[in-house]
Amino acid sequence: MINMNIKDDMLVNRDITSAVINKVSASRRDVEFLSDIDSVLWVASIRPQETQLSSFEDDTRKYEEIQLLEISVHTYENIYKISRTIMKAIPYPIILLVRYNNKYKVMLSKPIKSKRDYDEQVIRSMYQTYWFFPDEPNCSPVTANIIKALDFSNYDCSNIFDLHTSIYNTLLNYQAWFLTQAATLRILRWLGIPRKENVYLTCSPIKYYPPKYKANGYVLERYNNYVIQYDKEDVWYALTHNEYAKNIIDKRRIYNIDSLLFESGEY
Amino acid sequence: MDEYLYLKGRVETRMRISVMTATGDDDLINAEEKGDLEYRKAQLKRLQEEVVDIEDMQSVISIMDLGLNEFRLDLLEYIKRHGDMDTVPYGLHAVVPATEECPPGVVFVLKNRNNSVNIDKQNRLHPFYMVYVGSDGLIVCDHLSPKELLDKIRSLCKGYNEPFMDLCGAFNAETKDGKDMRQVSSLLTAAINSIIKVKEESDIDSLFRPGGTTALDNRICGLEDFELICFFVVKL
Repeated sequence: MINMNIKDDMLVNRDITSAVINKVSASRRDVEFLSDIDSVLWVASIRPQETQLSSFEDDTRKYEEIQLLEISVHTYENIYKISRTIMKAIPYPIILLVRYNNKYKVMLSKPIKSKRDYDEQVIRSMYQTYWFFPDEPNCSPVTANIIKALDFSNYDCSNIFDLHTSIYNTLLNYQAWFLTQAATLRILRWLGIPRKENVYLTCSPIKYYPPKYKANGYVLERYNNYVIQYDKEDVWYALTHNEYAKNIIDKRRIYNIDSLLFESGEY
Repeated sequence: MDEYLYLKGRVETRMRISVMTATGDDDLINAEEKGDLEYRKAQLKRLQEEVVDIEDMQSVISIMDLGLNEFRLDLLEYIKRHGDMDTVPYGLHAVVPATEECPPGVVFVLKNRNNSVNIDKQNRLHPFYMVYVGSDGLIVCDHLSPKELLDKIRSLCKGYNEPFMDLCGAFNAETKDGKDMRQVSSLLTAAINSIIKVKEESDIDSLFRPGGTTALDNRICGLEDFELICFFVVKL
């Protein structure tokens, strides 16, 4: 369990699955991806009434409260789309924890006011962190750092916007980096692990469709051909939780994924 | 000084006029005006969604259809005739006959003990809550529709100055002169549960609209948060 040091009077802990699905279904036609959701939990609401923080508003941004949500999914393919849709449906800055089996991911964005309708918001600069494994007894440094970044008692801010920006910037250090499937297979070959060991069985690879850019830099559309990618932390977790692979890694005195990538020549 | 006071009064009056004609929260001088917007917004939303009801109406819509002014006028009239009601004890009840529109049940008038925060800023009668529970425990009219409920009470009671002795007798016999109020108590619990349920639904709705969420506002735990002001027993 992730200990975020949230005061009891900020905890909401309500299941809002049906409300979210109804809300999103009312505004979209392609809602098949919503069937991936197991549950949506409204964990906490950080607002001026219960904290010493003031709300923030200027011409482009409105940060009244921060909502902390946790969604559980049974397949991971559409988590980015699901997260983005939820962030668009809820007009508050959101810290979104995505749970898939025993692993978590944080989704964050910088919402700005929509110029068309001030009651809506536009999602900008959205990113996802690495998968992290809070329930593991010996968690990796990345997991430990992400959990530390989610500890609200570490932040000393004057308003809601500052708090959200601080969390956003801290977690930006753990924005997910992906390895291509080819790279992960090369690592296996370098370590001398046969493919039949199925080391990457616990990983959650994603399909990445490279974007076609407009002249001004905006994404016009995406190519139909995709590349399968693996989250770097996810790969390290898989390698260290496979006995065969772990023995080899220990023998070679490799202590983290970065040194593994460096040693194997993938950097 | 007099000139200043006159000017202040004039500006305040103008402000009040602008608030009455606009959508609320336009009075920058008066801090108490805050929160008015929420139920006005709900009214407008309701108007937007319930077009059929409005079309069904024979007459034109007046501002009286949206507010509770007519009931205030009734109340003023009553106070003029019978004096102030501050001395009336809590827990009084009346028994009235059921009609087609008003099925058998109980209308509870409750007061929230913790009145520092208006729940959702939507209950126009805050800190008072009125709920109409049918005798089967289903809610006929919840606390967010005070206009509809007051209309029902008015239709049940207006014009009757004397108690319905036969109904009162039947109710007293059922409750053994008020000694066995188990049935009414269970309906009271259902009424309070409905307030909590409506609040929960409203809290979740507040997440999808800007202006602040209400999930952490004034958490209602149950029976002990309310006191019973009075109730109407609607009997067949």
